[in-house]
Amino acid sequence: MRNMIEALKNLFRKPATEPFPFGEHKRAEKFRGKIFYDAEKCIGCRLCEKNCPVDAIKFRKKGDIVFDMSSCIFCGMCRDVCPPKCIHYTKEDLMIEKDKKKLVSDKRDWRKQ
Amino acid sequence: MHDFIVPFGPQHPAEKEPMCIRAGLEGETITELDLRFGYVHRGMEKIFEGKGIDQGIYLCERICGLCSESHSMAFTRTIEEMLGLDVPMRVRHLRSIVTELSRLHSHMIWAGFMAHEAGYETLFMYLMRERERIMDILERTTGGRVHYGINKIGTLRYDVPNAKLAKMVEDVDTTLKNIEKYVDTFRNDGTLKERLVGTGMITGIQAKRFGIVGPVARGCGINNDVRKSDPYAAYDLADFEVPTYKGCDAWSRTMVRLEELYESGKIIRQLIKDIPDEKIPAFKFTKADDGDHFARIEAPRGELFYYLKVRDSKIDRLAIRTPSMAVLPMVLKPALMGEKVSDLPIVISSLDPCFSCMERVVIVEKGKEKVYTEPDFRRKFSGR
Repeated sequence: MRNMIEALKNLFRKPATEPFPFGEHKRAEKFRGKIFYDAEKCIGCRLCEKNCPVDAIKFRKKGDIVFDMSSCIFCGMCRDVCPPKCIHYTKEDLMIEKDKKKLVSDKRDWRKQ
Repeated sequence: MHDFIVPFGPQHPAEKEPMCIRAGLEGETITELDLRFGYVHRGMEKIFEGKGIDQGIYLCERICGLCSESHSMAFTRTIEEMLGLDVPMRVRHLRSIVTELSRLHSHMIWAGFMAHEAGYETLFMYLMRERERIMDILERTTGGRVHYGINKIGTLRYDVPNAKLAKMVEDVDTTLKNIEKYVDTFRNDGTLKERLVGTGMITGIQAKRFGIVGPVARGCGINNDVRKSDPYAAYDLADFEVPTYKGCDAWSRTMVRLEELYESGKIIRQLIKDIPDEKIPAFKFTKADDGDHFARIEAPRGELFYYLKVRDSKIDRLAIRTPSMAVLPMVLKPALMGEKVSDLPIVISSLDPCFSCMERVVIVEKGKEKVYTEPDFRRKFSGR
């Protein structure tokens, strides 16, 4: 009997899971998602490239740094060491692509977003 | 003697990670075992060589998904003891709190998985629902759900404000109150007891001889806990007990882990109550002299051992003994011999295996050391 009541109640209850991917997708304030790179603030010190544990950052010239999001481990080291704070972590966590090259971000790609 | 051989794995629905067991059966009883590991070797120890000390902390978190905070704790403990750094009390408190939270969610997913193996799908779902609250706390406080990245050498990435800590206590209390029902099911339910009591026996003598660690040893009546015997972070300030059971079977291990949930809750409550108001030092790059050191901590699965050798302020060698490595290779055979083949998944998951943590390569050629470079290794072993 108790089980019956429980089963009937569950017909009208909301699911405990998040309505992903159709509903609202909340992330915490400190969440480390896709990297946003502000090219105008960059001073070209190369600290981010030197300190990346997985070598996902490639420095070309000042204001032109390539981030390979497919090998990034989202540790936050580049953001911590950046003196002018031009690297930010956005809350975007959906980075599913068929082509791996699309995850390598160029300066131009970031401008579009 | 066996009648026939049943292969279990490398891909098997009952296993989370790839491993292969070829069980020789006589009727339904296992009489012979052939264990094959090495499907998920990632070469993590090699990756560490030549990396900076501050980088190593993030890499070692990626060794394990469930005990990621424990790995970074072990790394920071090793390097801080080596340098003789004085870590502020607030940092120690917060580190212990995050480690206990990660122990909570690790044991909860394990208990759920145990129920799933025993055929209690609903219990698995209920436990995962309650675990979600702990994951949310961790995401709020550290910014990551799996890899927290909050530790730095001598300090933390960010301070956690006291208001958030108060909310944390509330959430942990709610979770522990909600899971009481499910813990009771594990303790008293007839079907679960039938499956778990007396399954996967490891005697106390065997446990001592093999040097087993963690909840598996505590289920055999051996009271070994690094948090008590070699206190680190703020554990010497917390008052808690180490639950031990003398049943030596899968049920005892289950009960040890479930009671540890409440002990973790106790530690979190105490440490948050006593947390001092201090300023957390800012992050600085670590410079270390040449030398080596080792340290150990208590991960959710048992004692975690780190050996670190530093040269030119870079990691020269990092040797890791994960708890699964101390338990699984030794214990699987005595635990599985003489069991029914249908109990095989239950016995394996009662040991809480983590195969990707424990895969190592050892090459010994006629007593002489031989070094394989990566191309050599590929040519010889993977045929590429």
